[in-house]
Amino acid sequence: MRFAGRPLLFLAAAPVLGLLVLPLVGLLVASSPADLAAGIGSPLFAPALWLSARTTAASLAVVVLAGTPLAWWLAVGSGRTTRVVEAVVDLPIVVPPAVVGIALLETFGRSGLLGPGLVRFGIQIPFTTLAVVLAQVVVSAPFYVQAAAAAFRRVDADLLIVARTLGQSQRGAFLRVAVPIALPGLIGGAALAWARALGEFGATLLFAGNLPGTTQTMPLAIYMALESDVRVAVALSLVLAAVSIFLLLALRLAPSAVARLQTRSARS
Amino acid sequence: MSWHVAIRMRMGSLDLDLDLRGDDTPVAIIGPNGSGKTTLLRTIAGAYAPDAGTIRVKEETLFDAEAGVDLPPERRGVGYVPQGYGLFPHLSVLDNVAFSWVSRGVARTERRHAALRLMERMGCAHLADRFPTKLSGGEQQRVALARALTAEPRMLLLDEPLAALDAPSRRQIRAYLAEHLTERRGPALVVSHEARDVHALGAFVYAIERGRVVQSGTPGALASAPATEFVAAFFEA
Repeated sequence: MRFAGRPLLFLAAAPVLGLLVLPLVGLLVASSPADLAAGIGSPLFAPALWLSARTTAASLAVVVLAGTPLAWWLAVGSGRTTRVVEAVVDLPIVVPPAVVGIALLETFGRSGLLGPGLVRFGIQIPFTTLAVVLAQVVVSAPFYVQAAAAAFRRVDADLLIVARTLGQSQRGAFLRVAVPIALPGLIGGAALAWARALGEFGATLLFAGNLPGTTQTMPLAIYMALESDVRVAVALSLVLAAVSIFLLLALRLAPSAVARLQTRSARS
Repeated sequence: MSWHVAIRMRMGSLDLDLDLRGDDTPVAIIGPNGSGKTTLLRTIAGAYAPDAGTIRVKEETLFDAEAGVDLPPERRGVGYVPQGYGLFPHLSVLDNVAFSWVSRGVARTERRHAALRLMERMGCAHLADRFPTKLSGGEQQRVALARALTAEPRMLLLDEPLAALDAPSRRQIRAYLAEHLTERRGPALVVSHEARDVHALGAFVYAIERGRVVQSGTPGALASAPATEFVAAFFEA
């Protein structure tokens, strides 16, 4: 299609496009290799990276294991309950992370909803690594559940009936037909959820605090580093940005790669 | 009488109240869109539970509301080929055909050999390594029928098996279906929307409109004395 106003369109889009790209360039330009090395060598760096890796792996596992059945239920259901649950699942996307943090404190904190019960069993959740994982689960689950439900909705219901008539139980039809067909969508959703958990800041800061080695994930370490040494903050940011860009690329390439893999394994 | 379906149920705005029976020859179901044909097939397959009634095939009770019998689809012994053929897009043709043997725990090499043998008999062995999305409609229909037969069903349910085909493959598959359905000599329900297909199958016909049987009989009987405008139009063309 030919657009007479193409240069004009580009001009109109330029400010937003620039704002999306320029900060990344700024980040790259800000640090020399020596700065980067100094940042990576800082005592903040390794514990934060390790904690982020551990907590996001745990939260992703929870989100996928519990979110997949939930997404399936949302995809096959059609009643009013389904729609209400669907809206509830979306809540953390629209609620500011700081509010999620306070809400979690008011639930699991000493004087919170479940606080007295937890205290009786000697369980303390706020300001622990578990709190980091919980905050990540809450803010990232909607991204996975939404994507997975959308992927499951695209699976033709007749395929599942056929799988049943060919001898599969309900579970078998789900695992052998629905999941493989929805797999690219599930992977895409999982990558989005992981990216969201990796970047989680607000809810973690309020609910888990900023304790190095225990609750100080990468984003929180950036925040702390900024007060002492900008170079460390920039180095941490570069690593996070690199991981995110890699994730984005993987997201774009995952669907076709999965399809190719499935084709190949079916051939072998 | 080798099968008998008598069911009552509501599905959305559709109010189904049907009583059909047949022997070991194909039975054709005709009717306008939304009259309940696909719902009927899916209900026999076990995807929906009727509010009342019974479904019996070859002495076996698949469903009986009063007796509380409701066999799950995997134990009903019916082969279902939906409109659009229902091939699994993530599996090769060979794995599609071998699928029911996966369910029964047959070893990989063994089930692949069995699938190939069957596909040779059904004239689609050359498609074994292809993927469903790369097949023509006629090829998909052959594969889907072969796959449905692997479960050795007591009854076959085919939803508009010829609908999406162009004229030449339609002729081919029509003859193919007629040959394999009569050779099999088991009950089969075939939803159809063309008089020529019904004639080719030599099928007894049930005409369904708005969830009710409006007429049944041989194609000749329906054509000579149609009970409704739809039946008249159906056999006119």
